[in-house]
Amino acid sequence: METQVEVRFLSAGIGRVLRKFFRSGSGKMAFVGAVILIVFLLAALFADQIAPYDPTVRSGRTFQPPSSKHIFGTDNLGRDMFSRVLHGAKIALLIAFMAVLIAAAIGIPLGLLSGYIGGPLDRILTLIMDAVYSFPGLILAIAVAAVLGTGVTNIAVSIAVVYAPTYFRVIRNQVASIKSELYVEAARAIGARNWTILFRYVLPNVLPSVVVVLSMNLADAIMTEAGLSFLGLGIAPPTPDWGYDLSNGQRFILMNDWWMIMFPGLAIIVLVLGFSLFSEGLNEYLNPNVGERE
Amino acid sequence: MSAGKDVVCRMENFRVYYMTFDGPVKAVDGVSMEVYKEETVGLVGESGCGKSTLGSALLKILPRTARMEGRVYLEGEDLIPKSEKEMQKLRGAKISMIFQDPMTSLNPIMKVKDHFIETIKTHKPEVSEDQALEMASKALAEVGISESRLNDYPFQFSGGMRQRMMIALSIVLRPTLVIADEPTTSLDVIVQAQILQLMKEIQSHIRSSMILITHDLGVVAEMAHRIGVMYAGHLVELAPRDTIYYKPLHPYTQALLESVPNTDINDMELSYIDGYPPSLLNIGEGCRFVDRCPKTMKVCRDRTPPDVEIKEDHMVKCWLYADNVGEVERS
Amino acid sequence: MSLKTYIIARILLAIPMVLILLTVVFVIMRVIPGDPVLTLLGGKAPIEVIEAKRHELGLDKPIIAQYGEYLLNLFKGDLGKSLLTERPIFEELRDRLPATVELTIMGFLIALAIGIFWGVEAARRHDTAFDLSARVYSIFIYSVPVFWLGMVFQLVFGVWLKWLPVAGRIPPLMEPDHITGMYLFDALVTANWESAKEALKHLILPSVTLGLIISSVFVRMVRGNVVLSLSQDFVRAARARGIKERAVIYRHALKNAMVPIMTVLGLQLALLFAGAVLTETTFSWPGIGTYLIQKIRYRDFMAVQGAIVIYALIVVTISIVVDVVNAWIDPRIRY
Repeated sequence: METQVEVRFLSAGIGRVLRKFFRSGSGKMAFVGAVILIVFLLAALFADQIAPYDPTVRSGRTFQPPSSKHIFGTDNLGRDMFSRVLHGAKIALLIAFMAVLIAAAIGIPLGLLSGYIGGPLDRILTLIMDAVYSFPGLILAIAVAAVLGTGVTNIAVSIAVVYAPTYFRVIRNQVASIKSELYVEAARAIGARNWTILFRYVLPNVLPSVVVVLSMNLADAIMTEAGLSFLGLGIAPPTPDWGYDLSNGQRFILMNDWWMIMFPGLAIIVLVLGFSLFSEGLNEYLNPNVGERE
Repeated sequence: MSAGKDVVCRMENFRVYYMTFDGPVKAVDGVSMEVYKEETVGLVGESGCGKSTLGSALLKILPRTARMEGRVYLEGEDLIPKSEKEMQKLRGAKISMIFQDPMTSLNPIMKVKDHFIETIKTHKPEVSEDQALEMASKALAEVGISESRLNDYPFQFSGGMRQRMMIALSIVLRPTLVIADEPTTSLDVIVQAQILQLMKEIQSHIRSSMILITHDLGVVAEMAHRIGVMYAGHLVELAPRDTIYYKPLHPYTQALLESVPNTDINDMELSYIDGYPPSLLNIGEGCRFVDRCPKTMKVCRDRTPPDVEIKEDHMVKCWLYADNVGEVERS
Repeated sequence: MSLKTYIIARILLAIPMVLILLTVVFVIMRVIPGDPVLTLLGGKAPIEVIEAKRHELGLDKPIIAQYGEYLLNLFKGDLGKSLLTERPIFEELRDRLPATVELTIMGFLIALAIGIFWGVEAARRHDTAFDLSARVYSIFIYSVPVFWLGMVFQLVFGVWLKWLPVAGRIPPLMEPDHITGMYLFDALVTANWESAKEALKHLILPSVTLGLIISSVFVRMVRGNVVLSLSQDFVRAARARGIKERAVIYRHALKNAMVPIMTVLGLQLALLFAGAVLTETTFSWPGIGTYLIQKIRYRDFMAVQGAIVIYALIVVTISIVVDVVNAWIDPRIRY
C-alpha cells in the first residue's frame, strides 16, 4: 500500500515536471523536435512495411516525376524515390546513433579521467583533443573514411572521431570544476573512494550536459554522414542513402529532374531540424544561463 | 541657502511606470520638485524606492518598457514630449550622469581620449580633434588626472581614478545639471571621501546643479543643500539638509534617521523599521508607508496624501500635516 | 606588449599546435588500423606489388622512422609526389589553393554581412518578432545541407532562370593574368572587366551557398553576444553621454561583442572549410576540396595526406589571425 502511494506520487511528480517543461517556450521547441524524431524513428523502423516498393530495384519507368504511383518520382534506374527516402532514414539514424555512441564511449571516460586525475595526463590529453577539435570535422571524417573505406561501421567510426573531443571537453571541464565543489570535498573527507566519488557524485552532475551534447551531435552526425556519402565516401550503393541519392540526383540536374534532389534533401533538413529543436529546447531548459553566448 | 533661486529643473507630477504583462510597476509616482541653480539635491531612500529610476528617467535612458508621464522642465523646456534625437542632443551636453560602478561604465576597449573625443564631437561636430583633446586634458586636469594618461585604456586605472574619469567625462561639456547615481558606493571609504570632495569642488567650479542619488545618509549630509526622501515611488519629504536631519516630519524620514548607526558608545541599540516596502506592481491609492507607519490613520489607506507645503522649501507627503482633512477622518 | 610582439609570441605558441595537428594527420594516415596500400591497390593485388608499393612509400620502415621522415619532409616544404600525376604535391596544391581561398573569403564576407546585420538588429529588438525571425532563420539554415542548397540554386538560377553558370570558375581562355590566382581579384587589378564579370558570375552561386549556410552560426553568435553587450553599464553610460544610437550599437556594443564572437568563430571557421569541400564538389570548383576528393577516388594516398596537411596548416593560420585580430580589438588581451 505504501509503495503504491509512493509510486503515484512519483508519477505525478514526473507528470508535473513534463507539463511544466512542455508549456515553457523552450519546451514547445523540444516538443516539436521530439514529434519529428518519433515520426522519423517510426519511418525507419517500419520502412519495410510502409515503403510501397523495394528501394534497391527497378519499380517503374526511369526519371518519372512525382505521380500517384510514385509520390516522390523515380530515379535514373527507375527506383521509387519515396521508398528510398524511407529506407534512407534507417541508414541515417543507424549511423548517427552508432557514431555518437562510439564518440561518447571514447570521450566520456577519457574526459572523466583527465578531469579527475589532472596533472600531466590531463594536459596532454587536453592538448590532443583540442587539436582534433579545432580540425574541420568533415575533413577529419573524410581523412579517416578514406583510410578505413566504406561500410556502416567504418563511417560511424569516421564520424565518431570528429565528435569524441566534444564529449571529452564538456566532461573534462565540468569534472574539473565539480571536483573542487564542497560536496565532493566533503565526500572525500568522509573517506569515499575515488571511484565512488566519480560515479556517485561527479557523473550524475555532468549527465545533463551529456544529454544535450548527445542530441546536438546527432544533428551534426546526420549532416556529416550525408556529406560523406555525397562525396562518395559513405555507404556503397545500392543501399538507399540520402547523401548518395543527392549526388546521384545532381548528375541529372541539368535535365531538370528536381524530384531526385528535392526529397532526400528535405528529409535531411527535417530530421536535422528535429534534433536541433529538441536539443535546443532541452539545453535552454537544463542550462538556462549558457544559451546566449554559444 | 547659499544658492540662488533660479530653477534649473522642475518636475511636476512626474511618473515612471514599467509596463509588464501583469500590469504597471509604479516605480516613480507623482513626484514634484525643483532643482535650483548651483545647488545639490540629495535623493535618499532604500533600494527599490525609485530614486535611480528617477535619475535615469531625467535623461530618458530607461528600458523600452518604461512609460513616463507628467512634466519635466529643464531650463524651461519640457523633456517628456522630446524625441530620442532631441534627447541625444541634451544628454552629455546639458544634462549628464555619473554612474555607480566606474569599473563597468567605461568602454573597456576604448582609449580614454576616445571617450572624450566621441562625446565632444557628438555634441560639437565643429570642434577639431586637437581642440577636443585640449578640452579633454583640461577636464582631466580638473579631476586631478595627468593628460599623459589620455592614451591609456580604462583597465589601466584604479577604481577611484576611473570615477574621476567618469566625472571629467560628465562635465567636459559644462552641463547645467549633473545626476550622480550612487557615485561612491562601489569605492573604498578613503577614496569615497576624496571623490565627494572632488565633486563638491567641481560643482562650484563649473556652477552646475546636481542631483545626488544615494542610500547613504552620510554622503548626502556631506554634500547636499536640500534632501529629498523617497519611499516606494513617492517623494515623501523634501527640505533643506538641516531640517531633514534635525526636524524631520514624515514618519518614514524619522524612522530612517533612527536606523542610522550612531557612534555614541552608550547607545548600542540599532533601531530598524519593521516590515518591507510594498510591491509597486499595480499599486493603487493610499500612502505607501501605511503598513509600517506607527501613526496610520484610516485616510492613509484610502487616499494618497497630498504634497503638503509646511513652509517655504519644506514639503511633506503625509496626511498628518494636511489641514484640509477633518478631525473625524483622522481618528 | 605591442601588437608586433604579441604576433610573434602568438606564432611561437602555435608551433606545438602545428606539431600536434601534423601528428594527428600522421596517426590517421599511417597508424590506425587499416592498410592504406591495401585500400589503394584493392584487396586483389598480388603480394609483391603490395610490398613494392609499401617500400616505395617508405611504409616498410619502423613507424617512428616514418614519423621522423614525414616531419622532416614537411619542414622542407616537401609533401611528396602525386602517385597519379608524378608532380610534386606541393605545386599541385599551390595551384589549387587560390580557388579555395577566393571561395572561402567571399563566403565568409557574405556570412559576416548577414550575421552582423541580422544579428545586431535582432539584438537591438530583443524579444520582438524580428528577433524571433533571426532565431528561426539560424536554426532552420543550420539544418540545410550545404550541397543541397547549392543544388537548389543550380536548379533555380542555372536551369530554370538560366541566369548564372552552375559549375567551374571561368570559361576557358578568359583567365586573367596570374597574380594571386584569385580570378576576380586578378581581373579587377588588371582592369580586365570581361574576365572580372565572368569570374564574378561563376563565384556568386558557390559563395552565396557557402555564405548562407555559415551565416546561421554568425547570426546566432552576433545576436547572443550583442544582447549581452547591450545590457552592460558602459552602453548605458554611452547613451547617457548623448552618443548616437548607431554609434552606441556598433562602436560600443558590437565592438565589445566581437571578441567572444571572433573566438568562437575561429573554431567555427572549421565549418567554413568543411562547407567549402562540399561546396567545391557541388559546383565543380577546382580548389583543395575537390582535389582531396579526386585524389581519394584515385587512391592517391600521398596527395590525400598532403591536402589534409594543408588544411591543418590553414586551421592554425586562422587561429593565429583570429587571436591577433582579437588582441587588436581588445588591448586587455595583449597586456
